[in-house]
Amino acid sequence: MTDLYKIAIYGKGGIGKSTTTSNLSAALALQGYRVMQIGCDPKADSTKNLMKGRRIPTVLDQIREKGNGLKLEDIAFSGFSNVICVESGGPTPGIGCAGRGIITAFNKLEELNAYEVYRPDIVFYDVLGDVVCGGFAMPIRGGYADRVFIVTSGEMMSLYAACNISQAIKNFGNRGYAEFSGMILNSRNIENELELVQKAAQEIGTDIVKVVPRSPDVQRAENDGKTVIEAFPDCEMAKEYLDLASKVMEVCGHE
Amino acid sequence: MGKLCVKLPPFSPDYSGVCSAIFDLNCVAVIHDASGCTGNYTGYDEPRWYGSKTAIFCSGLREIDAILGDDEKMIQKVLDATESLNPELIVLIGSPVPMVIGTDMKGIAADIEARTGIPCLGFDTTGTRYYSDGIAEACLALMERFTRMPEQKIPNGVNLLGLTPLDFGSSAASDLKAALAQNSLELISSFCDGLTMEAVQNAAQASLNLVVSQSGLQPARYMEQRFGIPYLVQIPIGRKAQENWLKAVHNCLNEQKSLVPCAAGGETDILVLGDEILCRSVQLGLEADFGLTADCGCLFGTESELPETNILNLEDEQKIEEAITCGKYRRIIGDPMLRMLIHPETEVDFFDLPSYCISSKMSGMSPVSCIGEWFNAFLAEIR
Repeated sequence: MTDLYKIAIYGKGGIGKSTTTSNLSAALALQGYRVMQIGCDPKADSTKNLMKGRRIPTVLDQIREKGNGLKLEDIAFSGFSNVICVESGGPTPGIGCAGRGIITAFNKLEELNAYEVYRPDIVFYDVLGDVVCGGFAMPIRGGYADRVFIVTSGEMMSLYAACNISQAIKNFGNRGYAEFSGMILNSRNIENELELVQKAAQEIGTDIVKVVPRSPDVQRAENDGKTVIEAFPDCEMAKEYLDLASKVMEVCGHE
Repeated sequence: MGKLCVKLPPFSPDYSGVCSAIFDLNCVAVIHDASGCTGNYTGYDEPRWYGSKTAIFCSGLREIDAILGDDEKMIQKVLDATESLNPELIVLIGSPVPMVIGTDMKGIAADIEARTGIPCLGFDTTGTRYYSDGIAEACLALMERFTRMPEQKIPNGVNLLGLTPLDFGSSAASDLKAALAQNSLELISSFCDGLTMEAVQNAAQASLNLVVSQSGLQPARYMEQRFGIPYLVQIPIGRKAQENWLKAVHNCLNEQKSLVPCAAGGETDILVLGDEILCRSVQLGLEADFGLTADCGCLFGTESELPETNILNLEDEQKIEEAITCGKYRRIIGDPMLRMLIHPETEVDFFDLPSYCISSKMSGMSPVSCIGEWFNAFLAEIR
């Protein structure tokens, strides 16, 4: 496992990006990969279910508190199955600039040689909602994620966000940005959901990597501050996430 | 508020460092700003500007461009300039506003290169770091992109790393090059005084890199790792020190090992203020030529990987002022602008060594060369 896979997960707020990403991280970590998950959302709750429900200090909080004395262990924490968890964090609500916050957090990780120190096989960037400004596009720029997956349901706003994100990636075709690698349908069980997402995928020019069914096990696991993979490793939903992990790695070119 | 400059002007920033490094190349360079940063560079950080034909432009960034992220406007201006000037290289340079809105200078550079077929480098400079970072980044980018693996090395071939007018006046640069020529050392590439694309391509033919400022350290480490070229970190300041430097050059060439000469150190009442490599070299010169010890007051940060002897990290005006007025020092060498930090009751002899990166043309003094025996004349009264 010498290759480094850098994968950004985008999608509309509340669609299940963090749940999907955390379960992917947990599944791949159990398969022996060294996984790093970086939450890129001022809410800073991407990695909560890998950390037994605990919110970890964010990069921006720690920069604010410790300034130049900040160390890597202040911002990177070992979670379930040794997944390295990082949250970029954000400014005080109502002021500051969240996009700039992501850039600053990424720069700090580089400055502290995070990738060289932890030497992950896979890095997941779990990114807030739409590509709303330059800062939120940071994870798909040259040097960061190589692949982008979009989590969506059949709901209109979710598909609208998916179209925007794919458009942003296409707009920057000459800039060496990440490649749009497909949609993950996180089912909400709305009417004709698969057809709607298939149609959107066709219009965008991509494929559905996996249909993730809706399951009460997800909520039950999250109530315990865990991923499904950790809480109910033998349940059907855990198998779905394991299958998703295999498909994502397959799309990324891993044999 | 510790970083506040109350009496001193702000030191030259990273975008000026990039511009200074690429100044001699046949390139179109664009600072992405409203015009203040370009004005600062051309007006205060570049003594070569007036009378030169160097194509460094301002993108004319406006509020609405920043809000809308309208990169295409700048791209079109670059394409127009490129068409009429036919450069070998295009360089895009960031400033505070692009930094705040997250403009991807490297991404835009890749886009322009795809459209023009001309190599294009983008620098995410912010205006919040020092010029030395900008010079180092520009040199690294040039080396990574253009320096070729040589078929064979030139045994007495050397590169100068970290030589720009921000640290060296024209006389010091000439004296340094003359010192090489007089000692049968062949200058392969000078980063970045008189630099050409051909010299960048051939830089790895050198058998030794001579680091003469902090901005040359990172490129030197890169060239050691990539091309196996060792480096020597010292400016030959002082007659005896220059002799020692020359021996060190030959030792490094013969043994192909890097060397960072270090003073013996000890108690002192002399403080040297400036770039760390300049300070260290003056320290070595004082020791070799006058038998004196000095403290190095580094104004642009310190290099943690270098051995430390009497090194002070004076990273802001407050710390510089505290050092100057603490009562320990009776003799201080530094840019004349730093005299403003001396209190009326402070008893010191101040020796003016102007640095363009600190006082620009505001000191009103001609540049001073401290290379070789010129240093002995400069500091004739220090004892």
